[in-house]
Amino acid sequence: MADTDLVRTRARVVAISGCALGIAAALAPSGLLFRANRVFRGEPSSLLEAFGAWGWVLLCAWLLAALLAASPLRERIRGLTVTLLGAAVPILTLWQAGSAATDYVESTSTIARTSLGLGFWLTQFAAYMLIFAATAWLEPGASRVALTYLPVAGVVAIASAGGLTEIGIAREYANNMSSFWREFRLHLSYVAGAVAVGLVAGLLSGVLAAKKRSLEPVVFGSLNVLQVLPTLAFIGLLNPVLSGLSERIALFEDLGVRGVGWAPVIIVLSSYAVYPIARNTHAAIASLDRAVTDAARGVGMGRLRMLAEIELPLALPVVIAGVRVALVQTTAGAIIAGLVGGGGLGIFVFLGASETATDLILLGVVPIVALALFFDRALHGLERLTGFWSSAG
Amino acid sequence: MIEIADLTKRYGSFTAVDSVSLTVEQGQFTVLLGPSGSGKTTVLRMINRMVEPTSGRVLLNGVDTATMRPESLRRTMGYVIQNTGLFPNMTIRRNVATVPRLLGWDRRRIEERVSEMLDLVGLDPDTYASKYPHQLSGGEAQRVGVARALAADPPVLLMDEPFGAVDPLTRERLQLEMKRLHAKLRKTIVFVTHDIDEAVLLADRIALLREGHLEQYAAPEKLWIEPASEFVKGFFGENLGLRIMARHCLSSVPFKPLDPSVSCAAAPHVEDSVTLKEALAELVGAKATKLIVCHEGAPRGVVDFETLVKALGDGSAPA
Repeated sequence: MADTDLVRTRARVVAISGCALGIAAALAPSGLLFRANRVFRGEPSSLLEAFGAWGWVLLCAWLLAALLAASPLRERIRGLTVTLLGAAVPILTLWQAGSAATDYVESTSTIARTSLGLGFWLTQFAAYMLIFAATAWLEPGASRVALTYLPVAGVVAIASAGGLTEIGIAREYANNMSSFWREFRLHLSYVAGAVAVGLVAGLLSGVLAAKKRSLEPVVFGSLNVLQVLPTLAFIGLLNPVLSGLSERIALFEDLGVRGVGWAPVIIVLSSYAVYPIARNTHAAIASLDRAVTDAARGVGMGRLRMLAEIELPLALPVVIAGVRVALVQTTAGAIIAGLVGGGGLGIFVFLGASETATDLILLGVVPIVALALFFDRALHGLERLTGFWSSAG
Repeated sequence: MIEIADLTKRYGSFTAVDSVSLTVEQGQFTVLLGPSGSGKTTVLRMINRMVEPTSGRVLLNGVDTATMRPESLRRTMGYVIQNTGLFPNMTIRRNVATVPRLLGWDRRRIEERVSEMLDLVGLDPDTYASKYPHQLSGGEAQRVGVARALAADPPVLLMDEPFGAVDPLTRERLQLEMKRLHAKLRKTIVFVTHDIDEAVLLADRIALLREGHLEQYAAPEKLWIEPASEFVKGFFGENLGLRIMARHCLSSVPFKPLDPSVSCAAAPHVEDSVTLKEALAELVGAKATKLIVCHEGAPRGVVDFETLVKALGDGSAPA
């Protein structure tokens, strides 16, 4: 109880800080960038300037949200109003950015671009802080979840109504539509493959380390080495090994195993994914209630049955927390595939960087951030679901 | 029948259990009693091979347990521990069904057995079977622990301070129910505790341990009348007589004959279903020298202080 009280008090601090950040971001000089073409440097403008009257509405929304967050209103009312204001911010700013972009194109030429600048992204982050804080005042349940995803729905609605077509990142998307979805799927399959391998290896090594104390330093020692090896160095080290294998063994060649491409990417990403899963599995099993494992042995369960019926189910929420870390980390890490001929969303990032086309970089980065956030939330829900038996849940 | 012969457990240079020998007869309730560190839990855990002895043997109905698969051995012995050790990820139904499942019973038989066991320990199956352990109180959880241990109808029940973590009122109720269950089911029970009251109330025989040695193994009455050492005498203290009186029912005592004209309402009286200790308390409370014993309101005889004390002195059988 004291714990949730603390969360609720802190929520006020987070909410008000979010509003302060939001106001600063609205005034920041580079809210939107107007460029003559996609690689041109661009003319910065703050959101307040760019949005005209709606800019003042944005400022007022932040001020009102801060006032409400600080107010002595009932928690439910405070939570509801502040969440709704927070949800309005991404919808308002994206809609306004979209129409500012359209106006700019109409007043100049069709190759002109409007990019979303730092002020815009900080505004989104501030809105996330505000919603995150304000939902802590609401009762958990379906309506709270629905409120959290309100801005996502709003963004999708604006986008499908064509309100965003002139924004830089949307233009890049339109130009790369077919390759975007191909690389998106490829990216996802790297993440899924690496986390699947990481899950199997992580469970095995975590259980092994928990059950055989003498092996614990060996297991985590080697995982630590893998963990601190820089990604590119790791791929570089794998290169001669994999090319050698594929030259000598026909099967590997047929599978497309080469020094570059998908093979080193999967190996490297799954090596990183093992660590958090193995750590959490080990910690969860090693810290199980002694009375429970004692009773399981005492009623005559064998070691495997004990693992399957008692230890792994009880460790599951903590294991899933490890999978969550691995997923988020791998989603970002899979960018590297774009650099070593493996494809994925990383190719937009590296291509964009080489052309100094910021919007193309964002075409790779924004879906990665969205995916990471989605995985984080989804697995969080799964953690709570699998921990239903604990008295806290 | 469990025969423990020269059982010894050493951890490095420390001897936890030193050459303990004792026999638990079929259907007997044996309590392993002693201060902490006396080795009582280690002895218990060597019976189901949760701990492997350094030397010595445990025979179950004449068969050396060292020759059995530990898992199979444990499935023939119910096991109840202090913090219940219920599996938090399973419903009460599945918890109780654990050993029958391990033994491969069919589903209908398991379902029936679970209901029967929950009834036996005083929990309504309809209310409790689908709950999870965290939804139970300490006393309820411990009942489920007992139900789980009894589910496959094992001939032997091992209990390691099962009531140590529940509140005193619940503990007392659970003790009385344990006594009732033992009288009904006649399981061979080995029960570890450091609580003297609990031991004297429940035990047919008490094995008193100190620093891994067996000091004495006897019925509580015998421990009182013929303590084997000063340690035994000192351990049970002055109150042992009173505690033993709580074991015996007044109806088991030979009453003195009664003047037929006396009625139960007229003089200080007690029902014959009370324990000797309660009768003594009644005697002192009424500031009387004798009490009329009644059975459902009809006078049966007379007891005085002398009868009550003598009932223990001749070592008559426990109620």
